[in-house]
This record gives sequence, structure tokens and C-alpha cells, in this order.
Amino acid sequence: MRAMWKGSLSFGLVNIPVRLFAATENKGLKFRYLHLPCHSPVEYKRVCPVCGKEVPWEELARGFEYEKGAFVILDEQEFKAAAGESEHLIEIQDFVRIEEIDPVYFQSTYYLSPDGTGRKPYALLRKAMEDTGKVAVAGITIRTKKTPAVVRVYRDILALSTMFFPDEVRNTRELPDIPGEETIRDRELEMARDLIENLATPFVLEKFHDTYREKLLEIIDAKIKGKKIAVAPSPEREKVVDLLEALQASVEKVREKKSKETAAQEGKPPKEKVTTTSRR
Amino acid sequence: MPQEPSCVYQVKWDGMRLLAYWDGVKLLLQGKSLKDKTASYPELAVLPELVKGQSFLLDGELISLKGGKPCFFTLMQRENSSPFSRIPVYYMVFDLLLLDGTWLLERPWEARQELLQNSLEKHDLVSVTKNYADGKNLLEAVAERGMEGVVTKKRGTPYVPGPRKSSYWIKTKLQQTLEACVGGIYLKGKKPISLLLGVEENSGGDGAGKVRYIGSVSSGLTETELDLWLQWGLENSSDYPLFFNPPPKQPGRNILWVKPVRRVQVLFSEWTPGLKLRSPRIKHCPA
Repeated sequence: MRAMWKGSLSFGLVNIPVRLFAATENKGLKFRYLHLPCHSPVEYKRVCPVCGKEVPWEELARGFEYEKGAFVILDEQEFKAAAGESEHLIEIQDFVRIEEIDPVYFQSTYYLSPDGTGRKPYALLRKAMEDTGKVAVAGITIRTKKTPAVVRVYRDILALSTMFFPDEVRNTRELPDIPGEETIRDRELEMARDLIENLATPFVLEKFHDTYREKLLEIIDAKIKGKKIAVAPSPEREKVVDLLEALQASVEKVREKKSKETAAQEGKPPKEKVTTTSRR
Repeated sequence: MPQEPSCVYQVKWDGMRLLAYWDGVKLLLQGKSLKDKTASYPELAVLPELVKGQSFLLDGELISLKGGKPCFFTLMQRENSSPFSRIPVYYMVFDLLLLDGTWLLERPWEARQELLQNSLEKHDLVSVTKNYADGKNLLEAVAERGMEGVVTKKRGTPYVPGPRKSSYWIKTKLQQTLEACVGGIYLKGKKPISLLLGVEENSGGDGAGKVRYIGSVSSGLTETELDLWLQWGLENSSDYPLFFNPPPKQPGRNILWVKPVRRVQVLFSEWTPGLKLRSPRIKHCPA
């Protein structure tokens, strides 16, 4: 695992140096777009539709479209100014009960591991959080954005989940056709409750697996096995014969130049020199 | 470069040494330290069809091309991607060590050559390395084409197996040039000390379109030039590295990351196996 963030977790007067590791990974298969006739992966280029030219990095700017077709351009300094100091700090502000936070707010989860001198205070915080059953609410700056996060004990480690800002979670009132208090018959409700009780089991996620990916892999494997291995064409179409010919031309050029020089020195016309290459 | 009548000269191919062994049933491709490369280069499965013999052992260099010449870097991109990648390889054969069950190690070089020339059929991907009598001419031609160098071989000598260097085969290496982009500046305190170089990987490898860090260079740059680079770098800095493989942090040194938009010409002796430049030096710097 590779750390994707390094910094410290501040808890009261203690600073715990920590590293962050992504807790989850996307196992979806990656497909590339190919040009069907020659099977070459297509290239993506930044092209200006007005100038018709490829845009080099130094001519690239970031603009905000404040109304259709009208942009304000921000430069790097302005982005930096907005981001503020990028402190590498997870600042614990409060401790709450996890039940108070609805899962809709959770964004991505990272594992925390202590760095250097952090092992003892890490163990202390973990134990204290376990004992109190509380989780920490903190702020963390990743890249440029400071986001709210929750630090909690997960198995035997501390995990951090970044959270959406309150205004990023859509209001449920915008949803159409939600029923109010309808009249429900006791008999129906009882039956529904019984059904739920009968289906209640401990939570096991392992019974779910990605059948779409499995099917795709099956298809891919079958295609690889059935396929005779062929050499794909080179995107540059460079061939070794061209190189050998070019090299031969260079050797002959050098030889001609030299024999002319010798002839000039000796005042004689250039003579065809026979080179004794050993075969071919 | 030795100059004796007994010497023959060949192009030094900038690639990966590769032995190809066919026992009549199975093909085995072995790289340096006898690493098994058979699965990595399925296109060489054609070899048994090309050699007139029930069994054989070929010695040669596997190369990839870029810009009309062999490129070790491109080959390493192929090596690190899947065998179905679009980067073609070519096998430049220069010796034959076993044919039809007979070991040829003790035979003189020219006898092995004759057997090699007579038993290997021509193919798009497989060639026999050509021999030249005039080493100076060849070296000049190789230099003109920006290629790696020349190998001198002595007639009448046996094949020396194993990793130790033999005095029968002598390498003459030329300096190589490369156009790289600058993706960062190493600072000691506030003083710029070297430039971090990168190349775009865009020939179909798995790292396509990304910038690879290939080493830092200070040689060939004056202090004034470095200061000018720093000035430029501060105006074109980036908050994070644009290399996909940035170098690890070094104590006492900071890195100013910059956008990889400016290019420099670099001289270097060779690629290290970790794809860094060996003894790089700035040749031309449009500061």
C-alpha cells in the first residue's frame, strides 16, 4: 500500500504523525478505446475548436463559466490564495456518537497508520475512543480543499472518512410523490413486521460479488485463449529494415567522404575501395 | 577501439541481451542473469521456424525502435507492459552457440558466423547483425545516426560464456542525446542545485501520456543559468509533481515542482536498469 497523504492528527495538545492509505479500491475492469480498423488505442488531445490547433500546456488556463459562453479566468496564484495554507493536519474538533451521523454524509474512507514517533499516542487515542464509544469529528485538507471528516476505530486501526458538506447533500423535500401519513391497517402492518423479523440475519457482505466483472473476465479469457498471438502493428510503423538501410547509407557516405579525402591528398581520382566484410 | 586486421566490427545495439534456446520441443528466451523472458515476447515463437536445425542456441540483442534508432527506454516500456502491447521488438542475432545438438563454443568466431549466416532465415523481426571490416567508418556512421556504439570482435576466438568480460569482444560507446522536459528544480535552502528531468511516455505502454522522472542534472549548467531556471520555475511552479514516479524526498533538499513545458537537450552515457540517465549533462539549454 502506498501512502496518499502524510501529516499529523492533532488531539488536544498531542500531535500524532500519521499517514493515510486508501481503504477501498475500485476493481472495475479498465477498457481502452481503440481505433477499430488497426486496434490502436486512441490518443486524447486538447484541441482548440476555434484555432483548430492542439493546445500546449503553457497556453492552458482555467476559466469559470459564470454565464453561457462567458468566463472569468483564475490563475494559479488566485487558486492558491483561495486554498489558504495547506497544513498537513487532521484537526480533531469534537467527539460524537457515530449514530448521530447519517451514512449519506460519508464520502471516502482512508486507513491511518502512525508515522515515526506516533505509535504510542496512536494507541492511546484508539483505546480512549474504544472505551468511550465516541468518534472524532475533524477537518482535513487534501490537495486544496478542507473537508469535514470522521476519525473512528475500525477493527484495530483508526480510520478516517471524509464527509460531504451539508449543502452537498440534497434536500429530501425536493423529491416528488412521497406519501404522508396514510391510513395503514393493523393487520397489514403486523404481516409486514413479521416478514422483516423472519428475514433478519447478521450482516454478511460476502454473499455479494461482482457478477458483471466475472462475466466480462470469462469472455476476455476465452478470447485470449482462442486467439492466435499476433504482433500488433506499431503506432510509429518503425521497421528494423529501414534502420538497417539508413545505417548502411551512412556507412557508405562516410566511406565515400574518406576515399575522396584520400584521393584529394594524393592528387588521384577516387578509387573504389573493396571492403572485406566477412560475409553479407 | 582496437584496430587490427583480425578485428571485425558490429553495431552495438542499445537493447537487452537475449539468448534463445530451442531443444526441439520448447523455446526458452533468457535475459541477463538467465531470467526467463519467454512469456514476455510471444512474437519470437517464430524462431524455430526460421532456423534450419533440430535444436539451437542463439545469442543476440532484443531492441525496440524510436525515432529511427534503437531505444532502450522504449524497450523497457515494452518490458513493463503486457506482451500484447503495441511496442514491437526486433531480435538482432550475433552468435550461434549450439546447432543440431552440437556445441559451437570452442569453434572460432568466423566458423560460428558462417553457420549462423547459413542457418537463419530472414524475417521482419529477426536479423543477423552485420559485420564490418572498417571500424572507424562504422563508428562514424553510428555516431551520425545517434546510435549507441560499436562492438569490436576478434576473429579466431572462441565464445566466452558467463557474465565476465572477455577481451575478445570490446565495446566502444558513444555519448547519447535526449530531449527531456524539466519537471522540477532541486533546492538546497534557497539555492537551485539541479534540474529534475522527465520524458513523456506516449508510445503505447501502460504509462501512456504520463511524464516519467528520469534523473536530475546539474553538470553543464552554470550558477547563473541555474538561477535563471529558478526564476522561471517560480513563475511556472506546480503544487504537486507532474511526474508519475517522483523521486523520494532527500534530507536537506527541497524540490520546486514546475510544469513540464520547457525542454532541454541532455547528453548521457546510458540508461540504468531503473530507467534513469547515467552521467547526464546539459548540452543545450534555451534559458
